[in-house]
Amino acid sequence: MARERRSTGSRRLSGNLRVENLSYGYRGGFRLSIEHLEFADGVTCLLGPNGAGKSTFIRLVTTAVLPRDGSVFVGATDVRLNLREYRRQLGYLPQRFGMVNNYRVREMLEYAAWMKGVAKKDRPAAIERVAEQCDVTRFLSHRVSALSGGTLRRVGIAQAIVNSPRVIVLDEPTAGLDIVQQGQLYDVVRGLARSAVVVISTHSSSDVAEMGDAVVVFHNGATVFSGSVDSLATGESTSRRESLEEGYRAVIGASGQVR
Amino acid sequence: MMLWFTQVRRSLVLAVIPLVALLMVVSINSPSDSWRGGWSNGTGHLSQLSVLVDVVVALLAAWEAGRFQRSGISRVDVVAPRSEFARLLVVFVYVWFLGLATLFVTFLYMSQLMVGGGRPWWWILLDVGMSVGSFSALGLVLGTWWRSRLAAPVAAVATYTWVVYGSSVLQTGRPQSLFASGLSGTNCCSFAFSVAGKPLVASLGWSFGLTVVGLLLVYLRACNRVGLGSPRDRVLLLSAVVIVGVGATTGVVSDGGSPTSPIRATLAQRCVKTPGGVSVCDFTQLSYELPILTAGVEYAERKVPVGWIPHRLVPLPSSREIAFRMGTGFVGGLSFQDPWTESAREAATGVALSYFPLMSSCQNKVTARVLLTLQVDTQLSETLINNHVLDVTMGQRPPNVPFPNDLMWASWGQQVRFISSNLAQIVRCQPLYPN
Repeated sequence: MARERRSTGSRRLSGNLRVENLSYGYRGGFRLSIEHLEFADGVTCLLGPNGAGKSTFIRLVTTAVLPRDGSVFVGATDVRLNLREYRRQLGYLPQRFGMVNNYRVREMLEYAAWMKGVAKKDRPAAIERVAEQCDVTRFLSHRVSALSGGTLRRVGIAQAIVNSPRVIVLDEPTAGLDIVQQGQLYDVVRGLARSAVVVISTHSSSDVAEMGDAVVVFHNGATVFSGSVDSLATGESTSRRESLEEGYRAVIGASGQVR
Repeated sequence: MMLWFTQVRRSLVLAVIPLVALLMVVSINSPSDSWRGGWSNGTGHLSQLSVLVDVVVALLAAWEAGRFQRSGISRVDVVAPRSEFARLLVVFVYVWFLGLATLFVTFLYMSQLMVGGGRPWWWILLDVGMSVGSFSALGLVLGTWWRSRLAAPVAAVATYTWVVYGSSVLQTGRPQSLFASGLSGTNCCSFAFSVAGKPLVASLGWSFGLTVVGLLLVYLRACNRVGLGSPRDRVLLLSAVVIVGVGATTGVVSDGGSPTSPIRATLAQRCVKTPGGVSVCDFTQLSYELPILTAGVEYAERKVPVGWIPHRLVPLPSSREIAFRMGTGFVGGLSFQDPWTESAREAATGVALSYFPLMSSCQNKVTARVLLTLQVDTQLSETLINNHVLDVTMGQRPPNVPFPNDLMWASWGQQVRFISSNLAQIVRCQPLYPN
């Protein structure tokens, strides 16, 4: 009875992911400050040079660290005040994501589901669902150590969404993947974005062009651009990807501190 | 169930169980009695080797705790609702369970000897179970903090050092850290002595304390990583860890008696106020760790709303009460002496010694709570009496004094009555030179 209550007791968060007056600094002097930023359903790509604050932002949004000032909201829900609830509905694929090599993929997903508080009775179905979504069904009985890089990434995304999250954060999901694998991953992410807020940190203009609905550009601990992908792709090139890169360079250049 | 099975399937302990079983077969078929030995007094290769299970569980726990850190999945764990703490708890439980299962094989074979040793099987099973749990927790903490692959062998070596060398040091009678008495090999006698009349409760307390410390440390680390709680809260939590940790891991030994420590004494104790107005409490007999505990509790009391800190943690008696330490020194001494003479003398000198700081404090108009312990140091007492530092006059022998051997295993209430009846016979007891 108690278990039943637990499994059904969590309410589904709704609304956009929003940050207000967010601020977080390190002892070294770097400080991320964001006055207002909002992420709707769909894929929002975070761009910016190394050290711009993307990773810090992701750590804050995923609650790996909590902000000293400001807040993160989902709809009207303050994440800090509903930490557990928010984490139940968060999917996260870190940049350097490793798995326990002895595990099989199914066990890995089982573990992730347990970690994310998915009710025991719901886990098998959830695993089958995400395995199909991420096209890893045929790998369920494989050991993690035997997977290729692309499959490993897809398993990584599968573990991130096994709890049907409202907010999905993927940190450089296509790093190290070949073209075919990237294409497969784009399909997966686009499918997820239909009913969730997907935030992707990336250095790849292809990622933005293929998956992105919106873009946020970070520079020196602040956002210097926030808008649709089309509004960033203002370059004169006929290629969408190159046009995006021109727009990105223009934004960074306009901030006066190109590195 | 599947998660549990996953943990078990890849466990190193599964390899240990057949090894232990093989050891059983070898020992059963061995013509030498040296294999069999006596479990109750810690002799025999089998009994000695059983300490290796402690080593294995410490190693395994450290390895398991570290492997998730090394794999990188911990970055996901950090933001999962169940938290790192919950995951580590699972690891702890499974390591503990498997370690216990391994030992259970041993128990099947040794049960006859154990029962023959005078202790019920469930008692030893619990004691050993707690011991395995303690070392699991220690390994877990080490592996969590130190993600290196070296953490596991270091945990194993530390455990081995602790268990093997700890026992020999303890027998020297010097204050030392405690170790798990159940698997201590040569520490045969810890079973035979009573701590506050409830050895099992005391052992439970000690192991529980260690486990709590381990889990609190893990929790504290999790809090730090996600920034939960204010720095002050974390300092407070850390002070609680220090308090429980000191209580759980420090101990003293006197005259071959069993080791004890504040956490054992505290968790095992039950202070009883006698009709004469004297509070009889179990308490540690040496006070080198008490200032730390006292400071910690006082700090916590300042920082936390009244009532949060359980005062039983460090029961400081008021200046009108006397805290007696029951236990090994006192009761153990009785077992080799004439029951009345020795017990009465010890009680009397103990009271006198306890009064000494009390009277001194009163004369100096010290209003703070006075911490008194009953020093059961026979030699010192005799010296004091012989030199007329103390003036002790005894009255009539109290009725119904239990036989010491029974008293050793007597209930707490019986021990209290015994003490009270002795105290009632003290007609006069005062230090001649209080200053």
